[in-house]
Amino acid sequence: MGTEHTVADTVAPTLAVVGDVTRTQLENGLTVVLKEMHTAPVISTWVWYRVGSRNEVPGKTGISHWVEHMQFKGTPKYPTGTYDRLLSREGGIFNAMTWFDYTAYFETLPANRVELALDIESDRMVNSLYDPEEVERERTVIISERSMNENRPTFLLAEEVQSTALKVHPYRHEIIGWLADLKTMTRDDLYTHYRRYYAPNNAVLVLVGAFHTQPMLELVRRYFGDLDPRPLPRDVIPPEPPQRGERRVEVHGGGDTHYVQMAFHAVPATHEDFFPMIVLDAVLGGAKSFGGGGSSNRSSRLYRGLVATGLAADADSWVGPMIDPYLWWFDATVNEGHSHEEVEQALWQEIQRVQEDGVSPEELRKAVKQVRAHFVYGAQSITNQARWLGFAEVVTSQEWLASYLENVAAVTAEDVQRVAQTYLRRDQVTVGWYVASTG
Amino acid sequence: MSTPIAVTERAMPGPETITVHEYANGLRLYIYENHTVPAVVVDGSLLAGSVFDPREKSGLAAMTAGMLRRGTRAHTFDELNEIIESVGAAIEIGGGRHALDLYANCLSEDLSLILHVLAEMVREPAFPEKEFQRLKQQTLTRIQEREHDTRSMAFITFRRLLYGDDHPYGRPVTGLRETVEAITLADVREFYRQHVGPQRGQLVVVGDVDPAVVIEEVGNLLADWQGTSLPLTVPPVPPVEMRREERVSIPDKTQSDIVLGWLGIPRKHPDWTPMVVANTIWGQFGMGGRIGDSVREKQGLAYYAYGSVDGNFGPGAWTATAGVAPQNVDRAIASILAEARRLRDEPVTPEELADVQTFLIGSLPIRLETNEGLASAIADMAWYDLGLDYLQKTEERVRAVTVEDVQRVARAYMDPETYVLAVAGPA
Repeated sequence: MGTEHTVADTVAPTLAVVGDVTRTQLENGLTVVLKEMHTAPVISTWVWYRVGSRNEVPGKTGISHWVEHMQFKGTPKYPTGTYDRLLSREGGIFNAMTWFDYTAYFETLPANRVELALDIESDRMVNSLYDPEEVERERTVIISERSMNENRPTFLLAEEVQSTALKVHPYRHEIIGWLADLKTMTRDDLYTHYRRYYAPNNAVLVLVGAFHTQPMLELVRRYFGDLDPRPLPRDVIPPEPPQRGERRVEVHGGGDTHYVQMAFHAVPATHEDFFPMIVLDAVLGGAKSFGGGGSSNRSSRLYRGLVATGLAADADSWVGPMIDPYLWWFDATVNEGHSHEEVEQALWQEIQRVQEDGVSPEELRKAVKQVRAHFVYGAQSITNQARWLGFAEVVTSQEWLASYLENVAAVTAEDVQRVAQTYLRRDQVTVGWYVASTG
Repeated sequence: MSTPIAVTERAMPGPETITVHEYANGLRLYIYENHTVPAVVVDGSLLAGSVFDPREKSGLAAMTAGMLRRGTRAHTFDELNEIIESVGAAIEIGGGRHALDLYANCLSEDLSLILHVLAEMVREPAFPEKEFQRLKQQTLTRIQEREHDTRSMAFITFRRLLYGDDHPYGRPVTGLRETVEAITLADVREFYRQHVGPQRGQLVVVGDVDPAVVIEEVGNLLADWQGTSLPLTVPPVPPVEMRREERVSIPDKTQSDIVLGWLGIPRKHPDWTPMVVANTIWGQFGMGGRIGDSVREKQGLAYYAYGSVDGNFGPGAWTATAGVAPQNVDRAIASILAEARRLRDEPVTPEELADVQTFLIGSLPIRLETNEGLASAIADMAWYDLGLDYLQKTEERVRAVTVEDVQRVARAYMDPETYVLAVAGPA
């Protein structure tokens, strides 16, 4: 068999995810996004709040995530522990997640049980209890979650790199928060945060699945329409001042394995350089599925330059859609017999190669096809489609999501080279080395 | 107001919807159509897992699997990666306990290409020396990382204690540092020659496909493949007659991982469903079942604490896992054992049982929503010879489990005095 294969039709005109999304706002300010999907007898219900670690201040880091945990600790109507039972016995899956830019909750249930999700979410938007004893028990659970992270050298290094690359913007601290804050925050701190940000006019409700839109909208009104809007805080989120020169950090710790990370300043999702940045990231470290991991990246430049040469056990990059400028990450696991210097040097070499020689038309075509394929794979799951719609709503817009592939396909080789030259500069980097004690 | 709920019927895969084709060389093909999106998943298993590893070369099956992916007579590793990733597809080949696992996903427009590449990898591997050295080095780095990972070390230690050094289930599929170092390229070639063949192999293809076309294409690629396979064997597992316990010290860590459990049963054992139901009550339902409720919700000791069961051709394990602060290790162990005693001593309530039954039945449609989920469920039915109506009979099987069954399996398999315990964490 030969290697010849044609990649026809690399750009599909529309994505499965975009068709027929109904977006509306209730009088109390709740944004409602509905999409019918009749592939399985299931409905996924998501509520997104426009609050995350981005809205946190020193002394209260980690509060958004802790509030997320407390939202499972009961209301007068649904005492603590009842959600788990009520949702699970219907065969539902449920979870919640806190990110820099948002806090989100979801339930995916058999379609005829959707009202359980609507009732739970409308109830806990305003009625959560924050029982002091539950707060104390959850404090140790969250500290244990942080300890689990601290057991990983790459977490320790990333935390150090992030808080060095960003000095002012709240993206600088990990979402889980600093240990000192987790030890000192009080029940009233948590409750105040909850009352400040959890309101219909600061939330997005997304429903995707086996329903009819108009009657579903009526049902949504019945559950959420009577909730009162609240005055929202005007958070002043300090922009990051310009970086004036390379920054370097070292973290020393146990183990035999060394790691290298580099972080540059990235542009937000709505910036005109966002899509060239996504394409360059795909060329260097492989395409990532939207909001999730990628498939393999063994034909990427970093793999070829670092892993195929034996310097590193893996090499990766990540940049994603964010509200404010965050970071563009590069990381590698150093193979035994090689040094931090060699690996860092090889990372720079790959970056320089793009800056000097640009990228090929084949690399651009590949990135577009990979992005398209990832959208198709992700579109199978009703839960995942709901996640995309909610994410787009809180971070950018539905239009941004709908034109994502088109925008990726419009990126030119010149754009990519310019972005490499503009953002991946030596005076804009923070380099981190994890130095293993016995490595 | 008209009803907001749309009626959507989605049949459970079964004998009438799964197309089965067996080729003369013993390879079996299972095809299930799902036209939700224009994509396909291929999930394959060949009888060439780590159970065949020589003890001093454990990791050999996994290394052989990895080498199939790393170059064929027609294409270098680099070329293969380019072909696969250029179309946004993936092909992964990895080692399991009994199976060598093949996995691919792609857009349906690229299925022919991906099947060609997959067939080339299993039939015509080139085993290039340079790639062997790279793979070995990467594996050693992974093992080096694993030696400092509390959760991995707790599980590895647990399995060694449960099955013993001599049993292939007692060793990690990826091998140990010294055994991986001992593997040569000649070993890989020989393992391939002896084990990697179509007999008792299977391929499950799920997605936007036409079964007749897939049967023909796979036939053209693999029907004349004449590799051999040795028969399926599972060495007996000696019983655990007294408590076995080991604490592994990993310096400079913040928390400890606990794995506590017992010898379980093979996947096809008649107690499988009662055990799954019992475990769901003990350590899964809601947020970690009774264990989660005690260790996480009531005592605030852990971020994760749950129970699980696994089973293969031979007996699996029934375990509880938790990650806790070092000073809370003994308290967490006591709580896990207390919940094991309660499951043996007291019948579960009919409500608890009913909740868990509706959970196990009701969650199936969500599990079977994607090509991956469907392929994995169909592959299990086929590989463990459970019958292709196994999924369709889930409700019947789960509903048949009684309060007495739960107590019976708890008493039969979890002995709160004679258990196996591994803890890995700071000294």
